[in-house]
Amino acid sequence: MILTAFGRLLLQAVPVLFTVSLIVFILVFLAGDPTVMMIPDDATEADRLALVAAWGLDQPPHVQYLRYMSNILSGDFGTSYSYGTSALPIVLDRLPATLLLTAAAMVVAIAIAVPAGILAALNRNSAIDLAVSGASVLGKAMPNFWVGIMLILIFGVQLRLLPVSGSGTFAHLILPAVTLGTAFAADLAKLVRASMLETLGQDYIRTAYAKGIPDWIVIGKHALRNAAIPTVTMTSLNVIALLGGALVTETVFAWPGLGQLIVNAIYTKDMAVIQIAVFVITVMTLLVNFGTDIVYRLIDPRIRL
Amino acid sequence: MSTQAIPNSPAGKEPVLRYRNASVVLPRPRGGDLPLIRGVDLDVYRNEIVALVGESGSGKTMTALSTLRLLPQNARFSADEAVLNGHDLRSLNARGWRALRGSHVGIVFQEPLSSLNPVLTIGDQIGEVLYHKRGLSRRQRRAEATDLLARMGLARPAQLLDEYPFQLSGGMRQRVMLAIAMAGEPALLIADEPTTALDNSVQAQVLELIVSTAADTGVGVLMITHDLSVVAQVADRVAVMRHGEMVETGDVREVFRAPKAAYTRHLIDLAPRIPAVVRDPATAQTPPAADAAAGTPLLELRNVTKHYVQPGNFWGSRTTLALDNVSLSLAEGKTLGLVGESGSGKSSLARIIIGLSKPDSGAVLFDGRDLFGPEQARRSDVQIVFQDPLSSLNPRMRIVDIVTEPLGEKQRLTRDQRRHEAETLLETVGLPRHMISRFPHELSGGQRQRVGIARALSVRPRLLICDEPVSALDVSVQAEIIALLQRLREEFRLTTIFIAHGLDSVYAVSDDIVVLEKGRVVEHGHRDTVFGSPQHPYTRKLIDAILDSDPDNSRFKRDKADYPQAARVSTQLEQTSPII
Repeated sequence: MILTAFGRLLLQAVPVLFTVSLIVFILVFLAGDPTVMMIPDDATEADRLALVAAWGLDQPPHVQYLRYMSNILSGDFGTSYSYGTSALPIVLDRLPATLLLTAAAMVVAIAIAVPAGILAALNRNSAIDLAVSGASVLGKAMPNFWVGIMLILIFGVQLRLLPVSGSGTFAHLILPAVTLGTAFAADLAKLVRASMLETLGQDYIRTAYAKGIPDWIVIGKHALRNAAIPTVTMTSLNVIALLGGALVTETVFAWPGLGQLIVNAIYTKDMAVIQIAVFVITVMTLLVNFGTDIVYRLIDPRIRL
Repeated sequence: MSTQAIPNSPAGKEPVLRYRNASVVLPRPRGGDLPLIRGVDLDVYRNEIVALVGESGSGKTMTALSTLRLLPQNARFSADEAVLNGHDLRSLNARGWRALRGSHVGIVFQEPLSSLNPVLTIGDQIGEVLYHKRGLSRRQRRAEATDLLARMGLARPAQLLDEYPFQLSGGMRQRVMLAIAMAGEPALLIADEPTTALDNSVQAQVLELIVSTAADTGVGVLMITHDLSVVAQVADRVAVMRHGEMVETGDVREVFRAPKAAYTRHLIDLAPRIPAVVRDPATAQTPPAADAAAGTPLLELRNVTKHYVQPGNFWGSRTTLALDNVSLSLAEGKTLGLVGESGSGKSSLARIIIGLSKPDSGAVLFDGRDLFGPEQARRSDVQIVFQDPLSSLNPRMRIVDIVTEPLGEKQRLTRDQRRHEAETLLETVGLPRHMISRFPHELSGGQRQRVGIARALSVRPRLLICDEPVSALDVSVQAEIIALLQRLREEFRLTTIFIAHGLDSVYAVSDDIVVLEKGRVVEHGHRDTVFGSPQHPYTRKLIDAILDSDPDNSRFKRDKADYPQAARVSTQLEQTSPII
């Protein structure tokens, strides 16, 4: 089972990474001559041309592409212009913070959305259902930065319970995770409610009730597992979106994630950093898809067998 | 629950289910109540099979589901007496119902695939009943579940425990459903149209299993069905329902021989039958000589082969052979009956003839021209009527647009012309003109199928394919639609292909019969020849699976010669003493 999923991962990874590398190369090529940014203002045109020649930028595109690919394959992802060091460690430094925030935000989202969605579905058109729907509209409508600032005001400034910015301890993680998690919980709760409602109307749920087994088994085992599939799909899409960095939340809480790094790299045309960040995000996306594949297979035997 | 001798007189015995004046009402959103069943009196004793018969909307399923309180939300149940295995159903709370379900009453539903949980193993689905109802340990559950599956006639039961419903065939799934229903050793078994979704030959096996299970365990069976031949074959007593009320109750032989209610007589008369004279080979008629004079047939299939590719995983996909070298011809004005079990290629053949899919090899000639050749025949000459009239009509289109849509693009009709055309078409199929402005969901099943026929006729086709046109309909409506098709065939001088799994209705309408097995034509000939002296074992198997609607000619029933009093007692309700 895992082998099949792993086979799919490999089959996906090679063409995807190749295509991404090609796109990145074309973008860098189109972005123009990077030497303008690199040389000091008082350098002469001759100096610049020497630099162009030294970097091989005067070669035809296919020669440049071949060298670019051989560099990548040998693990050389280039040097950051603004940091002056190899670009790979710069990006990898930010990765743990992003992964941690993504995971924490998803835990918050699932912990809120799954019970809320189930309760709403079981009590359709009741006050609970209305409350869940209302909260979910509200959660969707409130912009992230505002929620973040409100949380800082309440828990950081007024109550002085939690640190308002930075990272390093578990306490630092709470406010950004809640900010992101509640936003996803809004969508997720609606989806869980809808797929639970659909599942609860199925014939096999009637069969389960006819067996006379406890209600919580009917709901928790028979219904939830079948309703989980769309939820897993959406969660994995959200994870992928978060892996690219959550710029607004990172900015509000000064969280050292990928989002800030990439935006800064774009401002300074730091192509090596942008390239490697795109690669890292692509690899993470492939890994998330691999994980999703495995979860699908665990849930639904029709995919597994 | 041990096998006990059939009691000579259950008069002194308590029935496992006893309803007196039972009603279910559904409150209407704008006030008032909608009665689903009214004043139902019903008894089911141990060791007997009671059939609950009626058409859709008669309340038979509501009556059955009320014994498990699996009614629609808000529905209210009331009765003067409602006792199941000694428990008063009227005073049960949620906990009481949970205790009752599974242990005292089990149920088998119509659709065995959708009634089993797709993501849980068979063993798990049986095992949870054994755990919650009988408190068996893990090891005991496995042994008992294996034993149950074996008793349900399933081969390699131990392996089946670890498999999932989608890996089993329809008949096997229904056996698993029965194992689940019997796992809690109930006193009453509800079987809600247990064989309607199955092929004829599988139907016979499942019915036999239900009858033998009842005989072995003594469980009382309440069998819900619309099929009178099923009633005749398996039931000891029959209760006929209509519009939520009990029309007639009695011993199955008496009811079939001398039905008291006009409605019962009507139902019995309607069941299509193959004349006994045809089924008796000794008297089989010699078929009329083939019209050798006929020139080119209207439709001719030459060596048509079709594969379907099932997308598998990355390492390969499976191809299934849907049609294998099929050749047949159909003369103008004739009706060809196409029979075979599900998966035999009937519908694949229909899709190719109307041009929805292309054969891999072979040719389809319509009026001498190749349907898939460069010079294509007129596609509108071939039209189709589908099985499910609800899902094959666009729910957002009015009837006027549905029936004239095939005309629309080509003929550029004005609004008035369309309207006029639609009204004419509706009259042709026996629907009132004013229905043209309705939507499909506002019509009954039979009316929808008439709309489907009108749509097919709008372009004046020469060949009409009817793909199971009546199998989704009630018995009385089936007879009407078949009569309508017969009339239209003459009126429009149609050549027809009639696809069905019910052999009796195919016999009624067809001139020639083609029998398909796994994509191959195994028999092709005049209907009296095919049914009278079937040559191929597969044809014989199909014909043997036809259930006789004569209760004296049951293949399943154990000898009940010493059991006549049971029936009499339960028809005379007052004689039995009230219990509790």
